[in-house]
Amino acid sequence: MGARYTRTAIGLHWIIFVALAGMMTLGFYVHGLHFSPTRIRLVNYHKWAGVTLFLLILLRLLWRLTHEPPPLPATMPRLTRWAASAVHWMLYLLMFAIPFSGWLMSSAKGYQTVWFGIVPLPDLVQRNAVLGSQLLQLHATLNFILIVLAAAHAAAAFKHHFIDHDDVLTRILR
Amino acid sequence: MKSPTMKCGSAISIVCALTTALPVLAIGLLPALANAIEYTAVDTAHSKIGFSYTEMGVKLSGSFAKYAAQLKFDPAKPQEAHVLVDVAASSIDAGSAEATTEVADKAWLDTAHSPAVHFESTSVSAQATGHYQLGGNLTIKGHTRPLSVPVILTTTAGQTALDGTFTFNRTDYGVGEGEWADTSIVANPIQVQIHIVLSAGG
Repeated sequence: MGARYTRTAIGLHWIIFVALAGMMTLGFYVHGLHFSPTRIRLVNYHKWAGVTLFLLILLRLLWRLTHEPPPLPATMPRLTRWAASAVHWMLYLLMFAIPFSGWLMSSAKGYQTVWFGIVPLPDLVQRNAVLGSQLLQLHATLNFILIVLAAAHAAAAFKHHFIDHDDVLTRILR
Repeated sequence: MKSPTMKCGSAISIVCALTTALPVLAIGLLPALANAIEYTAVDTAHSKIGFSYTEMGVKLSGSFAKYAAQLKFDPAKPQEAHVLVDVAASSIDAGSAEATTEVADKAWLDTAHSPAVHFESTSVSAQATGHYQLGGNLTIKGHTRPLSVPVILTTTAGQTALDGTFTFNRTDYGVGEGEWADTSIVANPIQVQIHIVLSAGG
């Protein structure tokens, strides 16, 4: 007990979790559609939401770097602590890399990203079909890694709650 | 400034020649005009036909790689000029790999049944020095509509070229039918940029 997450950290954790789950669902659904006006519309919604989420993730990273989270229970073995810390930083890295790879992928495929159809983002790479499909692979692969790590992260939280009976799960809820 | 060539009749030819030559000499930047070359061919290797359009606020740029052109153009006698361009519809790059594949389809250019995009001039008139108004008919997918394009004649690094831009509405030519007729996805206006390098030979 004692040290707590800030309300901002808790809010960002859950908003970004729900948004990422929705974005992944939309992304995988859109990927399966044939080229059509509906697909273009949904791809653009995905990009607009992606840019918004990217900003939210940057805010979260900034918050994390300036606000020390509550410490892990002292009873945890050194290796488990190290694993928990490694997974957390990998999750942050993926949350940054996934929207970033989507942005690059869009440029490589020849489509500049224009936030809400109004604010153009710079093309950081030139149009290049081969690079475009490589970045698509990367974007998808990073998402699969995120699913696996997020599942491990959630499983660990449940283990803390149901087996270790500590406050690691509950302190991110309230 | 209105070009004096338009008012030149046969009556007072000396005055006419002087008024034609004066603005050219005064500017001195348009050797193509001063040399009074008649251009009879298009250097397709250096010419460009590009276009751009927007898709939900995203600007995409494309081009056509293959076209044949016939041309007769004497900058001093623009009213006698004639231009004919046949663009191979299948040589399109629509700005992205998937768009390029899609645009060959029946709903778009229907390249299987309409292999060429065709333009033929019907009138050319001089405006300001080096500026011309090119009137003609544009045919896409069997739809023919009149078109008027302002073009500028320039010479840079020994290449004389006509440059012009114009906009047409894709739905006027049946480009993007059915579900694609929704202009909130692919916008209706298509901007075309032409860069026609002229050649005196051939």
